[in-house]
Amino acid sequence: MNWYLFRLGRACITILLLLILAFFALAASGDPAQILLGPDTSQAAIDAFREKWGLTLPLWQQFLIYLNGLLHMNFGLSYRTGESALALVLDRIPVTLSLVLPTILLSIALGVPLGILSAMHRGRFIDRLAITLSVVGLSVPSFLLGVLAMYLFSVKLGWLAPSGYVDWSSYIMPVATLSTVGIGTYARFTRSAMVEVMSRPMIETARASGLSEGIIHRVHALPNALTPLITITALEFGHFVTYAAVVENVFGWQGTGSLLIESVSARDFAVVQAIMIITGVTMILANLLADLSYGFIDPRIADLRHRSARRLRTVCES
Amino acid sequence: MNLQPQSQCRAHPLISVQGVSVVFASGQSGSALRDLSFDLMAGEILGIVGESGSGKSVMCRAIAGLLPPSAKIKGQMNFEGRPYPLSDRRLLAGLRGHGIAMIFQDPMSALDPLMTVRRHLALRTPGDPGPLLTTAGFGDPGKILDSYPHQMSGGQCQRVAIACALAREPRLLIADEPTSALDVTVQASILKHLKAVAAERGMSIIFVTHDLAVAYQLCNQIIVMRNGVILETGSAAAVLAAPRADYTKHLIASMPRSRPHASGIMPQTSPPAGLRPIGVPSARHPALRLDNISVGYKTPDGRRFDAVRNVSVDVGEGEIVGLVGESASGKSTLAKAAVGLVTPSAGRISMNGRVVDWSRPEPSWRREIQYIFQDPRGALDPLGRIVHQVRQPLDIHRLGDKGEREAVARARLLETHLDDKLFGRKPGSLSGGQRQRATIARALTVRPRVLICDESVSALDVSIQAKILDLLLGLRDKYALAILFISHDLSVIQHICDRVVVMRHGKLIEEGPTFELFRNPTESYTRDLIAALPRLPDAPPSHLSEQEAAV
Repeated sequence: MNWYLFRLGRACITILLLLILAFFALAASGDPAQILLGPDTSQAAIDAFREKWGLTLPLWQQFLIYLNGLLHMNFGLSYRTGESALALVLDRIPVTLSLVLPTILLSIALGVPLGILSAMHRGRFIDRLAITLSVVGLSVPSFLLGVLAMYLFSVKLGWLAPSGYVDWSSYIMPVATLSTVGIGTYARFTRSAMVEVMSRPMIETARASGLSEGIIHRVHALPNALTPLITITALEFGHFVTYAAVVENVFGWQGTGSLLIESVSARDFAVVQAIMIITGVTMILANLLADLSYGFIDPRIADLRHRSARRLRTVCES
Repeated sequence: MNLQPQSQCRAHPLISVQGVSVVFASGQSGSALRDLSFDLMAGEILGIVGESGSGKSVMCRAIAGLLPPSAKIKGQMNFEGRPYPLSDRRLLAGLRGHGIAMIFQDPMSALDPLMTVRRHLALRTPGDPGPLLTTAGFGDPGKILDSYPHQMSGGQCQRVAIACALAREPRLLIADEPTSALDVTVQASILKHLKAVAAERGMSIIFVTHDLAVAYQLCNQIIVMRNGVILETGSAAAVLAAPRADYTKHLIASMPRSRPHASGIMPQTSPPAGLRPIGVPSARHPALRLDNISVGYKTPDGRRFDAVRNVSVDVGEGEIVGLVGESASGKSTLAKAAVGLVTPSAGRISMNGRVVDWSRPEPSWRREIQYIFQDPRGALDPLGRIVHQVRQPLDIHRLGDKGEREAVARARLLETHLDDKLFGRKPGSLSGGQRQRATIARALTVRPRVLICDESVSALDVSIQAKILDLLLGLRDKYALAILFISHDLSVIQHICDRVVVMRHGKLIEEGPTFELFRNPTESYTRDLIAALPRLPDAPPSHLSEQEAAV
């Protein structure tokens, strides 16, 4: 089967499953009318709310109506504000991206060299120190680290604004908090990948033909160890969006993460679903992009895809 | 110890190794190498032979400075007149490339999968890669320059690895079993080119091999090693034709070769009728008959690839039929079709006169035919005790009660001459030969009529190989087993088989009784295969051994 078609089909199925899961899980979690209108509202008001939002219909009909809307790029309206859910979410995305993208860059910029350093001094002090730091970075929860940082730098030292966006320095604490996880992940991953590649026979062959350790590290070990990093980055992207939700809340940033938390507690279905779909599609695209880029980096994979593409052409022509 | 050959008049050897000892800090008790010394002249080829664990690879890595830090090295070498302490890995690293270069056994993993051949060579030399590849044996280097390793065959990868090693014009090339993973014709071509380079450049070669015949064909000098010490040295002809050490004699005796008049081992052509339990000539009673078998695969790009095309083979009761061919000749596919591991697209399989359709198998069929693979480590469950694994086929087929099964498993293991102290062990603590005995015992528990051995001795040392081959011969006689014996190693085939079938590109090329086929191959391909087969000297050339005795 053609690789590209296969991937596209799989992505569509994943998104559909995501939609079903999101829709029914939310519907099962409580009645938005009661939560939104409060416990003291009259039955007539509740009925009117339900009538207005189509909540009296059977669940499967609601779902089909929702799907139909999606096909026309209509993500529904927010119960709370009556605004378009999509507009609400799109409004918040730049804030989240402005946290997540610098975090990814910083994680790679610090984590990868740390991993390389660690692998080159395997078993020695530097290695152990780097591993310990990575584990600490990975294990301390972001909300704890965020609160601690806020306490130290804003409350005690008064160096940084505690929350919200003031100027560029407002980025320091949230990005640093988010990055501790990323740096730890990249460092550990790079280290084990380097160690694995350095134990391959091709490294001994390179040494035996007279290449210096420096060239071997740079030309053979690094490219081979770093190709899987693309996949890790695609996966980490999803993690960062999740962690960002926590960090946004701690530091009072108006991003998608804080919007998600507000909307879930308010049972604002349309907004929650819009966020889930957009995040899901982003994840799928990131993974697709990662898989595609392998074709450019690894000639073995390029060959396989090339053959399958050629086959598709012959099938189409015949 | 001096290895100076008579033909060499130069005073100084290229490399002179003195008193090398290696001890590994972790795990292994005792030393890997003990007080080893030898000399090698420029332009000479030194063969180091020995079995697994003899320390031959450790010695080579010690000279090249490639031993891991856990190895404690003593001793020194003189290289081109300068002394080098072997414990100084940094100093030795400075020699690599232009002084000493090394190539290894597994060509497929020797190269960087992300790099073209051109880049591999450009990293090592700024010069034109073309002539270098020609030296390494490529007829048309332009064709291969922009290929990636996965697009090349094992032989091509090894040639590229050789080109990489030769790129900085080393004075000494160390080759650690470089052709052991390759087909015999490819091996012959690589050996020819190595020999030519050595002569042309005046480069020396240290050639490590477990194959005495390869050493004999290629090398001027030979060192026989065992357990980290040198047992015997001398000129190749002298050592292999007139060995002095008992171990060398034993190694040479273990080498499989044609023995039409040998005693103790089954004659090749017409076995005495008494040895066949039913006394029926094999040809009349085929235990396994493969009729016009074809097997087709779909390639990733959707084309059909016929791995086996219209091949018919019979294996009679008590007969061993050898299936010979290079990699990708379809021999394993044919054998797998016989046991239903792959489905033939055409043809008919019958066992003991009954047609067998593996798409609708009957349990009893599975008992009648058993398969033994190349790698016994992979074929055994690492967590199960040997005797339980041997019992397992009986459990599966529900034969006898538990006590009987255990007794049968023990009996089969004893039959394969496995020490009964090992029955309760797990495969990890057994040697390769012992593990292969266990898989043979397991195959025999259900009393099969047909045994398929797919490269079953290829991964074993020669002396162990010889024992397993004798075991198979003995079992064949005892049970009138029909054995289909697959190997790329013609000397093994010649040793064990009554008849030989030669395959190439999925087709049957030639077939006939072993002795006649090896003496009079009719097809040119078979002739090439046999010509490419490295051979040991048949009789001791007396003048050489006298010369050697004088040294």
